[in-house]
Amino acid sequence: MPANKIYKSLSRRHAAGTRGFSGAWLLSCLLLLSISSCKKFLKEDPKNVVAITNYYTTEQDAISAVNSIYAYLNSTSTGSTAGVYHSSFWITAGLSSDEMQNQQLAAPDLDQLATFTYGSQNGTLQEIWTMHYKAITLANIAIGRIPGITMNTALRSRLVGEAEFLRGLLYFNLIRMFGHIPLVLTEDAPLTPGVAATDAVYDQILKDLAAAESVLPDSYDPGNGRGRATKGAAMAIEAKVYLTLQQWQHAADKAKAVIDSHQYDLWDNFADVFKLSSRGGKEAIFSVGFGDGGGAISFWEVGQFNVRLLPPDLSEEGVQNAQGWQVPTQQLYDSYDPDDNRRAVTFITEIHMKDGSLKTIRPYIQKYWDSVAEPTGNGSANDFPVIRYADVLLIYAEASNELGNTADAHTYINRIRKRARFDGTTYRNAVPDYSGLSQGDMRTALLKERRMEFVAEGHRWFDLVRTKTLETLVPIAKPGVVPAAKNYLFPIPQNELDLNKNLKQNDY
Amino acid sequence: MKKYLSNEMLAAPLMLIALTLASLQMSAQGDPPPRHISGKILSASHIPLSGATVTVKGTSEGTSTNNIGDFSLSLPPGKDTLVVSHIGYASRTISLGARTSLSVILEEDKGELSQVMVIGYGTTRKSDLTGSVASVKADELKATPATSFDQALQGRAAGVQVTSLSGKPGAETSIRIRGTSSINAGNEPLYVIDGMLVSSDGADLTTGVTRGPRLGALSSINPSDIESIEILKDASATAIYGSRGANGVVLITTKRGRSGQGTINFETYHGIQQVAHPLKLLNAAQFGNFVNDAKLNANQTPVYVNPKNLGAGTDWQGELYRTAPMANYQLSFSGGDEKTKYAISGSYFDQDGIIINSNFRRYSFRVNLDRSINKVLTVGTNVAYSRVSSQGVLTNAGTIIPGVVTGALLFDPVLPVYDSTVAGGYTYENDRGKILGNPIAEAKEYISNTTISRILGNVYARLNLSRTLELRTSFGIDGFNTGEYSFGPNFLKRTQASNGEASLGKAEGTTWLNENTLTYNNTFNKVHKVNALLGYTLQQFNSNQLLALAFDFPDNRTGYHNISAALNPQKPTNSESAWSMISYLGRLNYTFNNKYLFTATGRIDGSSKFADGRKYGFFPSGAFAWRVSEEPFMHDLSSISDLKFRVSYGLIGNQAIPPYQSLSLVGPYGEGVFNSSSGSEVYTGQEPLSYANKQLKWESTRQLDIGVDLSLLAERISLTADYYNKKTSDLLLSTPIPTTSGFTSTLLNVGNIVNKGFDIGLHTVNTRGMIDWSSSLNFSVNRNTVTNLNTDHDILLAGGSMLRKGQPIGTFYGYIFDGIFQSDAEAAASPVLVGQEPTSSNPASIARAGDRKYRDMNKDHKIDANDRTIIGNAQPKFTWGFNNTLSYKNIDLSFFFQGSQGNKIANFNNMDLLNFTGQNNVLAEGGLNRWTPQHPGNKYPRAVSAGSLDAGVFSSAIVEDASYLRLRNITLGYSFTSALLARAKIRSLRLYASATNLWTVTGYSGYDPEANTYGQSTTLIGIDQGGYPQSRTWLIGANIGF
Repeated sequence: MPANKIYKSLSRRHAAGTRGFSGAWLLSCLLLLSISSCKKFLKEDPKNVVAITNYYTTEQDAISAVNSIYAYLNSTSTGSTAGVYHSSFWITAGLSSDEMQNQQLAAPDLDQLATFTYGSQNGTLQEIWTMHYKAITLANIAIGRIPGITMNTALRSRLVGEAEFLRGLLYFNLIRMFGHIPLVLTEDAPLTPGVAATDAVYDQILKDLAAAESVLPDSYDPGNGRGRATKGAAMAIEAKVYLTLQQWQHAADKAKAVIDSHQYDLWDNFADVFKLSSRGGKEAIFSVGFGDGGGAISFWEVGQFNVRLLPPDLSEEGVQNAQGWQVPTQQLYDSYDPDDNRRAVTFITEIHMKDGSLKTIRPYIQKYWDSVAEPTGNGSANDFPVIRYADVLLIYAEASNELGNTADAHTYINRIRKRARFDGTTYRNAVPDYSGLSQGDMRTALLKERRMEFVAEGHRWFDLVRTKTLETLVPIAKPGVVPAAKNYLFPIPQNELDLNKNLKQNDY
Repeated sequence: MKKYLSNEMLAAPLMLIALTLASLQMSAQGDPPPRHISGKILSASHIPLSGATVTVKGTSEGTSTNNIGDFSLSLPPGKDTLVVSHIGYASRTISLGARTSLSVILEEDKGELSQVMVIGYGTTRKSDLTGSVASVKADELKATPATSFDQALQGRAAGVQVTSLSGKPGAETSIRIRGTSSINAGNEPLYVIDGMLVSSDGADLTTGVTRGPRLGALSSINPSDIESIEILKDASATAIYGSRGANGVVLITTKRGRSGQGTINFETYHGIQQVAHPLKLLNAAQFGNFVNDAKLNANQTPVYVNPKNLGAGTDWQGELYRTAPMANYQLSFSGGDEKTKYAISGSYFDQDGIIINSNFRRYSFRVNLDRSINKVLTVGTNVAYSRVSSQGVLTNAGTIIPGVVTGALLFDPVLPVYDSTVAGGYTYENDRGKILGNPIAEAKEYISNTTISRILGNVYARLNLSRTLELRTSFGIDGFNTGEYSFGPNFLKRTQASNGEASLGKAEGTTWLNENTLTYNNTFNKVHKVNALLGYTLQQFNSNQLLALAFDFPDNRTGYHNISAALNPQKPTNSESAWSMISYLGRLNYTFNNKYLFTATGRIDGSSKFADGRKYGFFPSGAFAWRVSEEPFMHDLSSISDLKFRVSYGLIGNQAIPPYQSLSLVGPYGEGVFNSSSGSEVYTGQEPLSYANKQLKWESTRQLDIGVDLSLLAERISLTADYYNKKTSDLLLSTPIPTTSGFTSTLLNVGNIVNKGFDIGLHTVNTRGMIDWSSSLNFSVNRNTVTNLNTDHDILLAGGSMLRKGQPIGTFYGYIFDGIFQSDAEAAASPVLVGQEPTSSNPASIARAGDRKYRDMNKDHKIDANDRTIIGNAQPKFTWGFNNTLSYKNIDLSFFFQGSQGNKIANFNNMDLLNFTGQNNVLAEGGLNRWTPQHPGNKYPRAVSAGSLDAGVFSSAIVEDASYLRLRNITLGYSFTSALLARAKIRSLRLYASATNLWTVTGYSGYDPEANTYGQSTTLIGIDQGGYPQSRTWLIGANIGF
């Protein structure tokens, strides 16, 4: 490159870098001739970082904006590594019910959740609140800004739809847990928003999910967006929202629409549901991915299922860093039919010692551990199932039962029970099909079936609250632990109350 | 003439340009004079005086002299007496008789009251001041040899607290004018050098590559060029600087030429510096004994067979510190004629640090030039260039291993400095548990060089539009260029992980400033004196930084000079920053009959740093002064030469935050995977990285000042006293916010801080005649209180510091040390730290006789975080300075005491130096008097090598009183009489010897009670952690004039 050419390119860059010296606007400001020149003089225009005013202008920006919401569902790489579905959410739903006990030392927040002695200072609840609103903020930005981007219109609607799906899902979690929450829907909402009416929050959730349903695709190809929100995911969550609102017909219709879409099916063997090879498979309606993509991204992004749930004794088998912090209640384990395949898949009670003997231990949860793919445990690359097809079948059964259609209820609960009998080769004589249950017995049966099916999937507290059975069922599994009426909602985190006088505490 | 004046008055509020044109036109008009008088006004040394006022006695008519001291005037019929006056000179009344031309000589007025003081965008007589302004003259600054002028300000002015942050040559100082008024925004004052608002933030000048404390931005200014420093303190004085005045303003005026014969001055001094107060530590024999005891107490095997034979061992402090030379050379030329005045100087300053391998060198040049083009137009320039080069060593807490000062204090004295058997040839590390690198190897072999080039200059043009109206416009530049170069060879403890490391940083920045002011000055009917100022200014700052880092140098020989030799280069990084400001300013002074003085000041500042719609702020102030001594009823009290009451109130701002805070910046943060049967698909997100506070605006301070100036016995005693009350609101505070925003904190305008106190300055002429003896005393009291933080919770900071509503900034929060357990039974029965209970799972940790006791504040019979309480604060009750100058014939003597009372310091060095695990050396006083059954005590614990849980506990055991009284400087000089020198063609010659930091009275156990490891941090003050100690300096000097 000739020297003068280099010089030219350098000086051009220089001129671009030192704003202010060039331009007639500065001169006119110097001479007090133009107010608009002075306005420009005071405008901040950083070149080494992208300000929000320059962002959200390209297709890639739109994709990144939506990706940032998904990125708060798994893990984050600074501070607490928790994203929405990292652990606190499903541990809380397990501990604050008859599902889990806490064994983690020096974790008073979790002890309190397991014994219903938590207060507004509980750090785990604060984290749940914070991470949900973090992700909602990003969804609000995506929903607000992507429609203004000039890009492929189909992709644009899909991306907005994904953000709407995620916002609806996140508000659905929040409204059920905290009851009286701010409904922040725009980027420029006030810093201290007031509490929204519960109906208004549900209306917005249904509105977001309906909008998502109308634009999202049925599926994505593996490796090309598989894992993003789909039409089926939106309908499945809608079904669950209607179920929660006891709008049985709507719940049944949405669940049936998912079933009739023929996009999904059950794995024949319950054990296959949690294999790494089943991630994004036929039973997964909406899941959150964990794992470092083979080292492609920061190791923080791996899942905590193995670390948190597997028994420390497994170090004998070469498993690393198994902490066994949260364990199932013994009563949960004991309530399975011994030949229910789900018991063997869900729990581990024996350790293979190096000397060839077997050591019996209390039950720990092992269902997320694909011991073939990840023999040493520790960080997990498994997905967290936010909603899977089995849930939709049981939603449909439950809504049908409430509508008086007990025949359909029997049909769909029995599909779940049939699989539970299958041990991989044969159908055992356990977990027989139900027949002729009354509506009331069917309610009880469905609640129990959900308990057997969804251990550690973040459903139990919600199911007990929805069926108003928290006070009656918890003491059976945890003698002496008696939830009260107030425990149908969690307390608003104290930090939020301190900082936002427009909030009001629940009955705590 | 009358018409001319009133027209001009009407025009005054109009816009600048319009006014300029209007008055130009006006001055061309006027009636022909009945009698024409012309003349020249000169000083005693026959230098023409420009700007002298000539009025016709008994009328309001008059004029002022032009650039060459000439005036002409029309005399009304029947009048023949002129009054000639000029700031800084005694007025004269002259009867003309029949003369039509005359030449008048004015004598300089030496009194305090007529002293000219520089105020923002102008000057005034001290007697005409309505605000609170302290002035420090060149000779006071010069008395203390200082690398940087801000160091020399220490103790010189009431209400101005100067803290040297480090003894490193050229290091930053921290200046607080009337207390700390902000938490997250800056607290350093605004510096204005010859009208140029300069970059004074050390952070702008560094990329962070330099080891140890950063260089002060002002260290590139040569202190010898300074003529005077004025410190503006109250709102009346600082409001003219608007949003940058809240922390006070320091105005620096450099030396200018004067008409008359040219002078040549050569000044030099040479000195030596030593560490003022090395700490007494255990020697090798004592340390061996101590380590053995610690081992025995933990049921472990002693290390040293016969400690006595270890002797003195290595004095690591002695190896680290040296007697270091410093020298300064300054050659200056000044002079001028009627039209041109010049001052040219060149200087070289060379200082070695008292720690090996540290130094500071500065070359600087300055040209100040003023030239009258014609009767109307004067132009001039001030240009200074300086080049600093400095070698630094890593002091303070350090990462990986502590800095070299901590290393030298704690390193095992049994070990030698050198060990030829290991790579590099130095003993590698401390062998006693505490992770330390050989401090001598770290100091000598870790290279860290910094260079700063800085050009500071402006050009101005002054148009005398009429007798009363002056237009001044100036354009100034402050440009710097920093290079930072560090290299750590691969054999150091610090580079163990990196296997050799190099870092190169470059920073460059420019501030430009354009100022346009219009000044109107007139007196009506002899009693109505009006001085008005209107101005418009523009300023912009741009900087950029580039940083390159590399690890793993198999070969040390090319050092940072060849960064590509590294096997593990890191990503280079760069950054940019810019801000700009537009300001409109105005000031009106009105004096009635020299008795009643009114000042109204206002400035509108627009800053790019704030949110749209919040960019502009208005900062008004008003002041009133009453010169009681001018009242008829006071005329009989001849002992009172001046008595003036002043009151001022105003609003000033602070905008010292980094740019882009109101913008939401988008960056990559979140990432994740979508998993499926075909593997993992990685996705990355981009999102706003901070909460954009679209309401972000100025931090504002309302300040009330009530003052009195009293001068007695023909100005032999003069006193200035001020009470002030500064309330800062809309604090730019990093604040927790509801997480419904998506963020947990942001910079909000919340919180309040109050500073109130007294400044008192007293100047006395004690004797005159054979011995001239004068004294000046200043005394400052400030009370700082955080009155609102937007949260009821304490904000805990690093270093045991905390912010709490109702408490001052710099409050220490920790445990109360309550003596020593004298028996195992007492320890077992008492509340102890968690883990020290008799039931503790680790038997070695159980509290026993000889362990420290802490107070159980909440009486729950255990010592935990809930037992922490306030254990002192770093704010002094008062600070003071006391200077005396005496002269007898040709001999002059000055001595300057200075001190601070009632402030506490958290001595983090003693966390280790009084931690008796035997892992590091300790203070001799503590180590030799440690608790033993034979030698029990209540101050120092027992030695125990394992299990101790009280290491690292922040308690009152390490919070000490840092009050001090210091003989800051003493100087003895001799001036040779001209008769002796005349033959050598020497105009003047003075020789002197001086000593600095010669004597200090303090109870503080560390090196220096002024230590402040966290630099200019607002909230972390009074913390000493391995800082570079202050030196004691002796020097001799000569000033020669030709």
